[in-house]
Amino acid sequence: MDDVLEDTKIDDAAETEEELFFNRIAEQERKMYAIALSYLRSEADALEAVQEASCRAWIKRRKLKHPEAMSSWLIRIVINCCMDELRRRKRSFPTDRIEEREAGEMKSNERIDLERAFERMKPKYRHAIMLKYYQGMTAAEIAQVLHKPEGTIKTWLREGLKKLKHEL
Amino acid sequence: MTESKEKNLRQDADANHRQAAEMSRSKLDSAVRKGIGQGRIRARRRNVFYASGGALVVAAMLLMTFALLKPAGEFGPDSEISARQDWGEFEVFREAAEGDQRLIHALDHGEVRPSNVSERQKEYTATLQGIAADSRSMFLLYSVKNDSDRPIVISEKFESDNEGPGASSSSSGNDEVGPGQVGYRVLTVVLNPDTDSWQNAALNLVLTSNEAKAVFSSSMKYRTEIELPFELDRSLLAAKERVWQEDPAASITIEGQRFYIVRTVATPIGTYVDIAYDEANTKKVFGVIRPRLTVERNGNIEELILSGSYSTDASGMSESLQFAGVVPEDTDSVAFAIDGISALDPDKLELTIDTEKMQVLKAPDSSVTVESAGDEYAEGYIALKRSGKHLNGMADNVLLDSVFEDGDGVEHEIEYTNSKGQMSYSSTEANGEESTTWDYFYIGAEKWPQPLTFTIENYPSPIRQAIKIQLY
Repeated sequence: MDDVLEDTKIDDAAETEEELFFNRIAEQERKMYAIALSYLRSEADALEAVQEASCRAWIKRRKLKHPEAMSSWLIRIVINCCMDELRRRKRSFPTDRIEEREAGEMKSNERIDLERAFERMKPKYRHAIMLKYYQGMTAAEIAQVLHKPEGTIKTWLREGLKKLKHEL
Repeated sequence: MTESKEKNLRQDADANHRQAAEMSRSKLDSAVRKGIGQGRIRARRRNVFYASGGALVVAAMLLMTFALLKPAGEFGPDSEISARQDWGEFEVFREAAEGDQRLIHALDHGEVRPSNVSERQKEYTATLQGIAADSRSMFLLYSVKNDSDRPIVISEKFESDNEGPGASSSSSGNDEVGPGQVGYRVLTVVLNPDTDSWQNAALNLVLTSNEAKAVFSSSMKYRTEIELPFELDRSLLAAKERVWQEDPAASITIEGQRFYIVRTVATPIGTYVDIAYDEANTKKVFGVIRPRLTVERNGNIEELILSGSYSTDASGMSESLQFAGVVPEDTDSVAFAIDGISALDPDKLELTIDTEKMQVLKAPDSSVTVESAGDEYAEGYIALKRSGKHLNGMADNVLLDSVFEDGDGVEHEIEYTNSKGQMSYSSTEANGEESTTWDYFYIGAEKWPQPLTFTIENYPSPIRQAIKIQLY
């Protein structure tokens, strides 16, 4: 009987932990989605990235030592999920098929140019620009997310914008 | 950047923002819930991996050292005694049981329950002949009769409706059965202690004709799948078990690093000690060195040795130590003894490698080198070679976390699939007190930005201090 009670308690505790964790991610879910959308440009893929990031976050939840850093931590996970997906796309679709896919989605020329420029950019520059321009974050906030000094972020922003100017 | 280009960038960002704002809350909630659900399952699979990788590696390496210490007693594992026992209908499993002291003990003491669930498909008859189980592990003894005119290869797994019922499994016996012959095999499953019951439990067998086109084909047309259902009631199994649990839990502290003896579970087929490392420890404790149980009964003292260990949570802070042999009910006392712990400072848990130049850039000490294992295994494998002092009862292998970071700071995760799932393989050549260990890791064939940074999950770093405490 005691065993049964103990098992029930464990189950309850697990459910409570999951619910609490869900609530904490739910507070950030739209931001996660917006970041994923800026990288992946597809609603379905962005939703999948949110799902994958929630999965990874659950697995790694005990490694988050400071709960106040949850937002930065989740953003980092989402970005990693997006980069994995972009790499997978590169492997899955030869260049000519990418062209076809993009054409099919009726995007503006400016948008296609921007996407291509981002694709050619070093990931670190891309992260800095995405977080500043698409999420409105300050250099200090970006530094916290990417675990780099603020000065480094400012350099990445400068270099990234230079690269964009050259590409566009 | 010109103003117009920056304007384009801001316009695109605004469009992105508007699009994100239109996504319904319910779809986002649903994605998060699905993700957490997948995480729960994947975390269990990860435990599975560490259970199988960690436990098997540790077991393999400890066997060698414990061979010299083999206890001979009436309730300790002893193959010489078992060789004299008559196993009756299970005598045919003698070869498959060889070397497995827990199974031999279970067969010697009549703990294997006859089952005789049988199923015939095409020209093959599979029979689950016996089951020995406690709430932590089970042995499934089965046979396959091959009435075809070609040899077949067997693969097997334990299935149940419950998520993650098995923490790990291994099998023994010949996996090839010739025409007209009967093959006898044993599947050993370490069960997840968090699972209450196993509904629709079954032994699932896949039989493949041993021809090249069949073995290498992914089509099921060359394969025959047979399912042998059976019942496993955890409450009945648990009723035969004795649990010792102190409140507060007994603890052992070595050089300021503490762990607790959470409980000891004695079953008819084995003995388990669950330990938990203190979250306040300043070092990462990988494990205890040469754990054993000293059992006193009627003036005789016997030692039960470790047969395997596995993490019981994803963070690696809890571990279940599995001992070969049982503790009889009329035992006078049981003590738990170790020779120390293996632990490292947190700032030494990083291993940084340039896998293009095959150079170790940062490691806990200078005993590790890296080389490509592409020729030995497949493209994308690397081998870590480590030489150093060998201690009885301490795992010499290096284990790494499945997530590693490339030179751009992007994380990658190794997928656990059957073909590439074993992230670490290990073999040790002991020469006196020195040993050399090779561990193989699949990092993928992609050209990652260098260097790669791994988190160390196990590294031999002994802190020696013999300690013994009374459990019962």
